[in-house]
Amino acid sequence: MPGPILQWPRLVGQRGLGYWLRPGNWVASRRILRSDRSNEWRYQFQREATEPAPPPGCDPNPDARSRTVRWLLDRTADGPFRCVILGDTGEGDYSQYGTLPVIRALQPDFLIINGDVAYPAGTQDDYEHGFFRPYAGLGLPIWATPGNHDYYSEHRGREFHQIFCTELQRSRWDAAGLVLKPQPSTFWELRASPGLILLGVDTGHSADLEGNRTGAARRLVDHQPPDDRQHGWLEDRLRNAQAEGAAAIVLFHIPALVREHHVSKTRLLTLHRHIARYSCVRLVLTAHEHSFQRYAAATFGRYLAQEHAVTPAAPPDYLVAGAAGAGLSSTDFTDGQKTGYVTVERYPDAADWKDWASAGQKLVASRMVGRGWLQTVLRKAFSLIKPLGAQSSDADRPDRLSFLVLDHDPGQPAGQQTTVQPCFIDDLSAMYGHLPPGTPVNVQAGTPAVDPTALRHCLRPQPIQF
Amino acid sequence: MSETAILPTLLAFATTVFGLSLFVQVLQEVYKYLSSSKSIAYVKALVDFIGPHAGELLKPGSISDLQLRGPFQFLRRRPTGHLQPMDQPQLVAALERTAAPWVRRTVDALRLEVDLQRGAARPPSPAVRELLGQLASVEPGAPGFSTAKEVERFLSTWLNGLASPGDPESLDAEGVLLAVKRRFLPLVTQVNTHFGQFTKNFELAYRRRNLRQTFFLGLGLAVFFQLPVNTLFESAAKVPLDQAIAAAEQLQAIHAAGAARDTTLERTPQELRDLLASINTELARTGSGFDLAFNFREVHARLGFNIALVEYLFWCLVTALLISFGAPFWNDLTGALLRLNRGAGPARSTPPEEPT
Repeated sequence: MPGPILQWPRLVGQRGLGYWLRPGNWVASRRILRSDRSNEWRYQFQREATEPAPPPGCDPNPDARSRTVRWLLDRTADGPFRCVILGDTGEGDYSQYGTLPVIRALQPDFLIINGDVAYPAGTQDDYEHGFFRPYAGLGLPIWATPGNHDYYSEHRGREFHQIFCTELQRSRWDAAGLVLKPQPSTFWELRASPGLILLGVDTGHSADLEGNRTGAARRLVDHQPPDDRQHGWLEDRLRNAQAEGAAAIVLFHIPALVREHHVSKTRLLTLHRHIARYSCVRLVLTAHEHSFQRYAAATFGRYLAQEHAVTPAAPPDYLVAGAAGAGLSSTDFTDGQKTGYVTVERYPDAADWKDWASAGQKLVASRMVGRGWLQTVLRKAFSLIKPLGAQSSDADRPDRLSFLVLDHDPGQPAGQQTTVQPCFIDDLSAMYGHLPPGTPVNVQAGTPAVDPTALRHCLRPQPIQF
Repeated sequence: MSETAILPTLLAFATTVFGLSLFVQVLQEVYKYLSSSKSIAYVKALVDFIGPHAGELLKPGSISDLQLRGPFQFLRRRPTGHLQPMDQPQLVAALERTAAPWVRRTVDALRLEVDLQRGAARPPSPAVRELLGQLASVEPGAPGFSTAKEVERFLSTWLNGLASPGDPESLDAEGVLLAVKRRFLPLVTQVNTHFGQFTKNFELAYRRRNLRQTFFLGLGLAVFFQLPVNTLFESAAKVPLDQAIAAAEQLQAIHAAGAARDTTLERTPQELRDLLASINTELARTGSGFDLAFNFREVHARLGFNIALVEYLFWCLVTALLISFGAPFWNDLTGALLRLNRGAGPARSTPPEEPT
């Protein structure tokens, strides 16, 4: 069916076709063998760099690591706002740019990237191609939580800290037409008073906030201390939110519950116990897995009770949303039949994924061939098998993308002030049905705009509301 | 073994290692020149000091006027080069160039204000008023809008806050400049505070890098030219004393001549070749000269891949370790042994005496 002519920025040769063929990118993106010392590094960054003092109107206590949405948006009073929350934004390829027309059409006030901002390894160059260039010209403030790939850099995540938490790279933000509002640290609180608090947690290199305290072999090789400061900060912020009667949304990159099972190698016990203990937490947002998965609050409550030995009074909803540009993961899993942690929604659904994926990807996803390293290598290799003349690899296709849209309006009655809606982009080309065939579309600039009807279709009708 | 038997052997051995050290030193100088070794070490130390933001200094066109061309950069097609160690003001100035344009303009305007005021707070000059006007006129959506607003907000707070009592129009430009730098150029503050430590760290890192190079070049030399330390010692034991003395004196002369020159690289290629050849000649006198036509098959045939090869590599490692002590060390040791030998009297031909 003839559609619009999508005009992309020049990507091929930099981040497009052949990107994952380069061994350097593979190696850089799989630094799992490197020991995790992020519980120490994140404080080193904070000590060595002078972070801006808390601005007027924000909590003056530096340990609170708190800012307000009013400050973020340069407003004089609290009011409604819209925020787009992206996870795993990709390596600056077609799929990442494919989200831009929709993001522009949604007209958010700011963006949050929930980890893995820069693939493959969070270097300065990766931020240029995976962050500054794709989002250039949006004219919005962007905050982020660091993901594992951001910690894979040569400087162990120092790049992330310098870009998002300090004034050092203001010239790059200016050049990209973005608004730098430095985060207080790699973990942060964003207060949309009254009534809503966003808490970004830094799960580091491998979601090991407890420290490597078990496993004789790992203890012999390496041992990082638990991140008691971040745990203490989170508890303090949640206690405050509870006392204020505000709703809290907790965001972090690496999930412990994903693909309908508990990932035992993550060490996020205290984090989950804090989430369970405070009923003010209404929603938990994670990423890392390149698909969308939604778990009912009751399911997440059962998960907390079974895996973390804590029974929440009012369990929050739980989302995994990491498909805002990175290569799609399989959603053809059935672990929930054994564990009981069944998703209520996933995107794309299993049947759709089977239609979408190549034979190689399906083979790898079926776990008939190796796990870990081998699986990754094969998946990357198979993803490159494509029809002759195809513009990009499967991973690059601007379809089956998903992210979240958060709307907050303090003027609404209680229980309806905050709305979180998943936004699913089935196929970018299909969003221009209102244009005559052959109309050129500038993807990065988002002009002409996407069809408003198609945009409404992207937003799922059953949002999470509180 | 008597003292007089040990001395000639030791002298010959020290002379051998001295010669090898000199040889490695020459090779290392050439390598350092070709690889811009100092620049690499400096950039690494700088990145450890100020973080990945140091990469902004290395971007083409960032501070290429302060950079040195590479050894093969005969034409400067791109505004790139090698960063050489900078002193504190230069580094600060370079970092200021990486700031956002509005921040740079503000710093420049305030710096001019400081010069104009000459220590006494005065009303803002037209330059500052013009800057404030321009900051206020930046339209939303224009490049750098958010920075312009941040700077404007910051300046308006500080200009009011620093106005002297009784003279609301006065401006303490020095104070405001300091505040602007702290707020928008935090690295400048860091560099100013810790530059001394950074310099020490760089010097130590560079020394370590050189030592590492010496070791690996020495190891390469020992492995590829079959110079394990046990072989060297055995050869040294067979060298007549007068020959060892002659070689030691020659090498000392070469070393002294080299020390008189600023660097080995001031020599022409022909001089370098002659130098290497003369070192090898002296080494040959101690029985350890090497043939540049290395034959791996010969080594393999002689040793095979067995325990002898491991042993061979171990002794080569020891040779590399000794070479990494450096030519000055071996020069001193050779000199001391020569003096000892002379102190032992006309020992060259007389029979050894029993030690007392």
